[in-house]
Amino acid sequence: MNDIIEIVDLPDPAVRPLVHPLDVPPARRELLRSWLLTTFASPAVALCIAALIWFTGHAYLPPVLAGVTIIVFGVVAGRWFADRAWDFIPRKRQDRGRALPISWDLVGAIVAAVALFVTLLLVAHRLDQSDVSRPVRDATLGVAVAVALLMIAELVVRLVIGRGAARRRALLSLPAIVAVVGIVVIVHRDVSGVSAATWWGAGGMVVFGVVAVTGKLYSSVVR
Amino acid sequence: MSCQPRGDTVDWDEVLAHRPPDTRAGVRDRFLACGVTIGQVHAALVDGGDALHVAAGTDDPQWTKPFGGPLVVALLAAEVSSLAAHLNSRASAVRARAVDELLADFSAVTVAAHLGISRQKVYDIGRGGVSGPFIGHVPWQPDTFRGGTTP
Repeated sequence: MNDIIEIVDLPDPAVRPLVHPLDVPPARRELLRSWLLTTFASPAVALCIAALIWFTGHAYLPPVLAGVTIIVFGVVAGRWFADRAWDFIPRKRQDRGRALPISWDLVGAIVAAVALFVTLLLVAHRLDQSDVSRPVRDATLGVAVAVALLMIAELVVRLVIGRGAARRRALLSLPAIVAVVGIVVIVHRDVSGVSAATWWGAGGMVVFGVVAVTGKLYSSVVR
Repeated sequence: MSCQPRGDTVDWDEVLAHRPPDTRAGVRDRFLACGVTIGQVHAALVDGGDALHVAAGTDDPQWTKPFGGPLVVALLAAEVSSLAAHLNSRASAVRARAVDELLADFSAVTVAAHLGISRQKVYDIGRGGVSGPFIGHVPWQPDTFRGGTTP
């Protein structure tokens, strides 16, 4: 095929045979757009926006519609821009296996954690209203404490048994842990003691967490 | 001068080779109900609809008489359309395979620029459409490349 010249300025095949959009400036721009969409239209952010809408309106349909629309839009538009990024690279030279830079993933984790924090704050505020009974409030606090402890335990396990890149990736869960712990600290100041409901909530969440982790380990071992 | 495969013996399956096999009986029955012979259908297809087109371009109010009336002209013209559509699908399948090979070695940006189409359209073309079977030769050509239908 000596009559076709590759228009795109690709890296030299001898130096870098497999190419990722990160290596080609016009493709990198499209990939960045895709990343922005998948990060800011992620399920975490969509849930946060839905919670804000619910908080101002108190009907159930607008938040659900808004949340679903944002998620669908994020997936479809994100994938479209990612495809436009891969347009710049011939199929034989595409490096589909390469991961995104960890700085991008860190920003994504922080955005998700901030969205999670705002959502939990709204939920805590709603539970603080006088029509919510004490046991429900206590049980929810128990669940939140258990979730925070489980997340910390998972992080510790991953740091201990992981190595190299996996260890760095495990640290990406820190922003979310900070968000959940922050909520527990804020809410705990309004709670006057540990009741039976608190233990029930915490215990139930721990059981749920153990079952979920066991299921994940089982499926990974069986496969 | 007319090009007919295998001398004078032309059957409906050969004349309607561009139609899916399960539709050929219905098409044939419609032609026979109007008194259209197999030779008429073959003649309409073998010149690509030229005679029909020239007759329809005149101002003569009796322009359909030589063919056997407006219904016959409508059916014959529909057959020419069906053949054209089949050739379109056949060429699209060939184009799809060639474009797919181009995309393996060149970026979609380059392939689209050389074909004169948009980047998104390149993938649609490369995926192709109907996969056949297609006719092996057009009615106005003898069967020089391969006999019968290509899968």
